[in-house]
Amino acid sequence: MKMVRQWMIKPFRNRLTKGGLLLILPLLGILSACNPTEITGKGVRGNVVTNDGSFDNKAYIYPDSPYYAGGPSYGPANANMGDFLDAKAKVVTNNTNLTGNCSMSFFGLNITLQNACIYSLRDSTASIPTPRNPDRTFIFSPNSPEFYQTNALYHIAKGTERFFNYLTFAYEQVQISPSFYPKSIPAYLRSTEMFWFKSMASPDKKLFKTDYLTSYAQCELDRNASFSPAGPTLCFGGITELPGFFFIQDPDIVYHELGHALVSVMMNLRNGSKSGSFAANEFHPLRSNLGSYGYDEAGSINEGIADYYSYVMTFDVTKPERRIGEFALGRTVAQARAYSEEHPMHIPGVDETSTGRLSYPQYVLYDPNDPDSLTEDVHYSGQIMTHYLVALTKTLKSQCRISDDAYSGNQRRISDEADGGHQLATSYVMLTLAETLSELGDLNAKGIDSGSFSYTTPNVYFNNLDKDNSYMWTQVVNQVTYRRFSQVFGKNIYKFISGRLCTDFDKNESEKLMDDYGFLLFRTYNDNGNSTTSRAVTFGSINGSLAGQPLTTVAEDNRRKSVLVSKQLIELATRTDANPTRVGFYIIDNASDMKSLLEELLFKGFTVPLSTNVSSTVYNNNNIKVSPGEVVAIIPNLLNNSNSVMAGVQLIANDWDHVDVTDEATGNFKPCVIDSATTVDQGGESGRTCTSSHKSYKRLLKNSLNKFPTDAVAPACFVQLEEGNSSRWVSQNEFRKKQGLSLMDKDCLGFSTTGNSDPDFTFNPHECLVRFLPGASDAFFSKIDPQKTYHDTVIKESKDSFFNTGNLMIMEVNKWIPPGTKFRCRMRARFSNCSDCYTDAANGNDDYMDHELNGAKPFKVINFDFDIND
Amino acid sequence: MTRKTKLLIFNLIIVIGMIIYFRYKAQSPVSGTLPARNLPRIDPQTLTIDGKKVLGLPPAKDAVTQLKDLKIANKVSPQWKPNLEKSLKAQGGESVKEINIRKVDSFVWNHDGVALFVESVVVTLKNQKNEETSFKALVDAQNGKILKNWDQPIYDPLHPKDNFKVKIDPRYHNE
Repeated sequence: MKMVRQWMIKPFRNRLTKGGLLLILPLLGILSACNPTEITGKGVRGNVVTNDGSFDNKAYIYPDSPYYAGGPSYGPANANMGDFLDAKAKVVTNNTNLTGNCSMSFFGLNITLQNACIYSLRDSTASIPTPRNPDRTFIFSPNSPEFYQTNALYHIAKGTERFFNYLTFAYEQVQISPSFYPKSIPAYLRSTEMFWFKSMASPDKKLFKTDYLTSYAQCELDRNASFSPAGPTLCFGGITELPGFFFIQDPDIVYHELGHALVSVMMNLRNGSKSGSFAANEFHPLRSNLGSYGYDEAGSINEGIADYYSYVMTFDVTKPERRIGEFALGRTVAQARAYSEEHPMHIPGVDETSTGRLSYPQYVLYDPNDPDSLTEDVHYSGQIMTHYLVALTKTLKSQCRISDDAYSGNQRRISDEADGGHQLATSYVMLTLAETLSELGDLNAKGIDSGSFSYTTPNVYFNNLDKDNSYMWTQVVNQVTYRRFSQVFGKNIYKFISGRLCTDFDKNESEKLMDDYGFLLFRTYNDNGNSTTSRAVTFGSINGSLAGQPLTTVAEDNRRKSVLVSKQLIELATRTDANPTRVGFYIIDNASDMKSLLEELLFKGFTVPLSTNVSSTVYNNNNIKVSPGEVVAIIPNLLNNSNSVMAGVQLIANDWDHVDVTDEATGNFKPCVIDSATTVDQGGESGRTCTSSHKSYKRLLKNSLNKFPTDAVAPACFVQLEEGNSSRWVSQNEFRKKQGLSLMDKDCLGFSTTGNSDPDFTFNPHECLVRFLPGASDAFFSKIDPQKTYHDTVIKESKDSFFNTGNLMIMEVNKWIPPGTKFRCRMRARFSNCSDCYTDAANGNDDYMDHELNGAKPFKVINFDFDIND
Repeated sequence: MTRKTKLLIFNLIIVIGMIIYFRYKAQSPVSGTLPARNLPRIDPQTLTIDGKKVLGLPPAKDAVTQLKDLKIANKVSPQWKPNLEKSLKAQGGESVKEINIRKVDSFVWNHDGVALFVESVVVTLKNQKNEETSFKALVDAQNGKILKNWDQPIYDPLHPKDNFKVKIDPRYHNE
């Protein structure tokens, strides 16, 4: 190798005398003149590389955050990344431009994706990756756009390669586990190639803009970084006020964003399927996501895992006080986040003992950088998940053992490995995460397979209700919460870690650690494998090897911090003499706030299709009441009547099984008698279809036979019809025809507004007058303190007087409704630490079947009554 | 009646018939009723209709028979795209600078007892600050109505307190 490389930053400069410099500089000038690659930057005296081939595809990389390389007080304005480059050039890619390849090994068989799987570009205006230099290197001038694209690719490719190694480990361990183990990571993953962004609705058509992950190293976002699964893209922005600062300068952030991408991959491992050796791959047309808009627990878990992946990638045994984003978040706005309780940034009382853990729900609003302020945000809440995963990793490091060799039987602790057991312990955790997320995100709704292939038994599903409604189940009805996640995660620890890889970490230890974090929110592991519609149909029905799965129960002695509370103790707040300022529900109906909210949702990717011909923010009158034509946000203010905290409160107002459809021709119905609010005298029905919940989820739409199905779910809101001296609750469709309104379909909410001549076959006439907008029909609240309302707990305590978007449900109101019309909307509430929302005492505390979530049983029904104001 | 009169009446009947025919044809179908349409091309090998894959068939029955029995409610119209754009603009208002709708697939979606031609699209929006966002949607291939929406971006703001919030009206607590 022939190389002149004279840029060794400060140490080298310090050794030179002025005379020496005078001699060397002209020589550098001569050499650089004939050399294709030059690095200029602070601390770089000159860099000349004569590439004899040993520098092919290489570049100088900043391996870590400037916080560590430059010191805690470095930056962030005008950071010079040339100061922090590794002395040794690293291979960036073997391609001739800034793209990376993906390959995953399956029992030694390497599968490489046909095309490049990572593109590194500057921003969204670019589409062609930067080619390597004429000298076959990727060495660009420090701080140049190409330099950042090179470093972005290096870190993303490194994180991706490590992920594929983890996934290989997970795949192989799961597949070699006993045949009676239910498995979620599918055996046919090699064929479907769902280990990357490769979902397709048909084999030759992609469901992404591209089937590679694009990184925008210097994208247009201000004060933001992001992952967009639709691209898929990673976007690293900057701060307008800090020129020269970019998120891409901090590898912690790169690995965090990549972590979101990997969560997206793991959530969709099962969404391509193969039912036999010669069967074609089948791909679900949708993809699962983990999290929605504003605050929710699915989003918090996603943030927690993304932080954990940053920990996995940047762990350094010599830096126990390491935090995520010390440079990009810490040096800019003092928002770096810790990985474990060990970090001194935490408040007194937070430590690595059982009682000192960062537990749920106590710390869901906790900002360690500003502990006096409470903020409902997925990043703060997600810290609990990160801390739990890191604590689990540390415990596995200290407790797990591996054999020295295959023959001696000698075992040693994995912490004796050179890396302190980091690689192995994180492999165990990543296996558990991959197995868990692939089950939770399964839109094919099977959860397991029959041997090596997807089973073909018709109409049998084991999770997320069924293939047609699985998206709604994963995202809304049975969305991922801390409870749902920890139950499946706990089950997989029990099976794969305690049961096989690390028997020293047994079920009790696992449950105790979960409980330390407040995550022991379930009574059983729900591992007996019954179907979504019948307890008589089990895993054994489709795969004989899986017959007779026991229902594993949690040892109640292990539940010390995870307090469960009955759903009967949650209700809508009411004003009382003792609490004269309590509000039942907040209404936001000022036009400018609502316009901003709708815009915000759209730019967060959430469409809420408005019925612009009969409802619009132009009708909003800001009287904090519901008036004709308005688009309003509703925030029900829930009250916790118990003596313990309620957490992860979910309120949903989607269509559900709460009516008895009495007429197939019109779809008109009687509301079921569910509580004392709606009685038979008021038009309710207590028998017929109201005695059980529907096995499928079918909206109340006219079908191809021009009939309304009698086993349909109905919109949450119905209306009071006055008939002489009596009144009864009826469907909105019945009301619009009987109350002298004579509203045509085109004058209803939800009817396609594209023009009067367009038909609309998904129009539901039973939400003609008021409706919760699709995509904005559920709300989430982090926690409610004992004997307090949500407002008192979070909004008042945070001294903020602001709601986050996750708290809001959006309703539109038909402009033709007569003032005075009374509506009742039946919402359903449950929460993560609910004692009677998930398990059926009549069935040995087995979890409710998915189809039972169609009805009222697992929820507390919250009646939202209102009149239309003049 | 003269031959001329007969011819006149005959022509009148033809003209009236044509007017009725074309008016009927132009009339929109009533919501929920199925329009008359040409027989779809069913391919039993690929289980497609008019070259589009059919999703959501109940798995219990013979797939080819199901395809033959399937009544697709809507028609494919080029209007779906401008209609979708209009709907997005209705939500985004003046904050929307650019809308790019990219079709990635077309298929028949049998859902909620209604079979529809649908388009699967990736929507990319640019706001006035030139910031981009992308998400996916499933839309009615005739009227452009959004049926499903997924794969929204995940944003990690510099400071969590930078997130969008909505202020409580001070009248609620007499603040």
